Amino acid sequence: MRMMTQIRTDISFQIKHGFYLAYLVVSVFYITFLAFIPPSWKETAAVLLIFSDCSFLGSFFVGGIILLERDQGMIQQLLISPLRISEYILGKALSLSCLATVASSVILLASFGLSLHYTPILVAVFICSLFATFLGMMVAIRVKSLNQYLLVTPLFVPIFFLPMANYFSLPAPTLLKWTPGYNTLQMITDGFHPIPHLSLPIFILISWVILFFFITKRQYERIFFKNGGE
Amino acid sequence: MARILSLLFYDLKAIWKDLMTMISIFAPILMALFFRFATPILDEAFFKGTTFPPSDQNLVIGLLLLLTTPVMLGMMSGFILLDEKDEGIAMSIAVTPFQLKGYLFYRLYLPMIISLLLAFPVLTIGGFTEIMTLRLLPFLLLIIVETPIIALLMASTAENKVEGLAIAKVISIILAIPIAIYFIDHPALMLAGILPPYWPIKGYLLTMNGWHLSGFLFLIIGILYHLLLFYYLMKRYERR
Repeated sequence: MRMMTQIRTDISFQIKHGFYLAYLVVSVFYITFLAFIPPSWKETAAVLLIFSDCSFLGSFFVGGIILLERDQGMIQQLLISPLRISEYILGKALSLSCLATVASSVILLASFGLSLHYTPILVAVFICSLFATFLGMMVAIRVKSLNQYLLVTPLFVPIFFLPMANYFSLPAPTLLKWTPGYNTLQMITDGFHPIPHLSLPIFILISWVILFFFITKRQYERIFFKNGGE
Repeated sequence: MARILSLLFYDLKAIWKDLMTMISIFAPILMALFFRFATPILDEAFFKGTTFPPSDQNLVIGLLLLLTTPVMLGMMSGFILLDEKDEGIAMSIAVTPFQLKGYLFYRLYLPMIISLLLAFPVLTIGGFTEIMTLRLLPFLLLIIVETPIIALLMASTAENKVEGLAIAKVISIILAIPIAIYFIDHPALMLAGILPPYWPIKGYLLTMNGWHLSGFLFLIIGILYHLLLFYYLMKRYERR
């Protein structure tokens, strides 16, 4: 119940600060772009847009949210509120993943209609977005300003885009197959051309999300209890 | 003592913010380095045999890089303006002899000059030297005006840094303009004219085989549109 309230609060915050409106504009642009590019490029462009933009939007937005809440003293208030740190973290990740999933659905439905298998694509976007938001939260709590956040994240978020090399059939180490990016791409591709044995990518993705959730939770607990979020 | 410490604190903060701006300079150079190595690999593995030959790849990616620098620096300036608005620094400076205009001059024109200075090193490092012709210069001067336009758009529209982030997300769309212009051959693309970089980039592409009336037209409309936008956003920022 408390978790649901937190997700609702986070979604309201995101709507109030224009995240949904911003992503609506971005989605309209992507839909227009996909409608006019040559058909031979359309699928590749859609897969790359959904993977690199929608799935990772959480890592872009969460930095601003955490930094604003820290400046306004809301994070410090967590220590005296009944809300658990895990609920706070999950609220952010789940709400931003909802935005990512809704945006992906709108873009794909408008561009491809019902010709795709939506379940693997949307599951992949949702789980990858959870992962990306945890990643963003880990950075956001350590930086001092939004500019610093925006300069630091592009240094390592693209590391998770490396599996695109596999997508383009470029020479790449097999180790990449165990990364969240590779498995997200696999599941998104599955929505266009079904591939067998999808349970392994789902298992790998969920394992990454659980691992990053616990790392983020531990980091936030350590920082909060050490200096009250300062 | 407390006042001196307080001043020192603000000065150090300002230096830190400028340092971050300085660091942002390296981001386009890093991108240029990435594309220098990535473009031939992508061509070999993905674009070979398609309707996207290496010469066109260089053109599109080169223009994308050229646009990235003013967009990035514009966003950074926008966030600094929002930061300083939140902290009341902009208002404090407005009542000093430096005045709001002096403050904006520093915050808007400095990144614009940096964008201009970075344009040629970025193209050289990226290996896109064929774009570097005299013909590019008027369009390049227009492209770097995106820096203050983006900064002012963010600072005059957003209430705080989080809203600035949402606006930055929308602004990032303009980075797709070189790709869209190349791949989309449809009259509806004219609608992209609402996005300022459309005019210099399309204008430059129209003059690939020499100057024509259409190239001049795109340049003149681009200049007028940028001036109009700049004036409107400046007034809007001053009102707020």
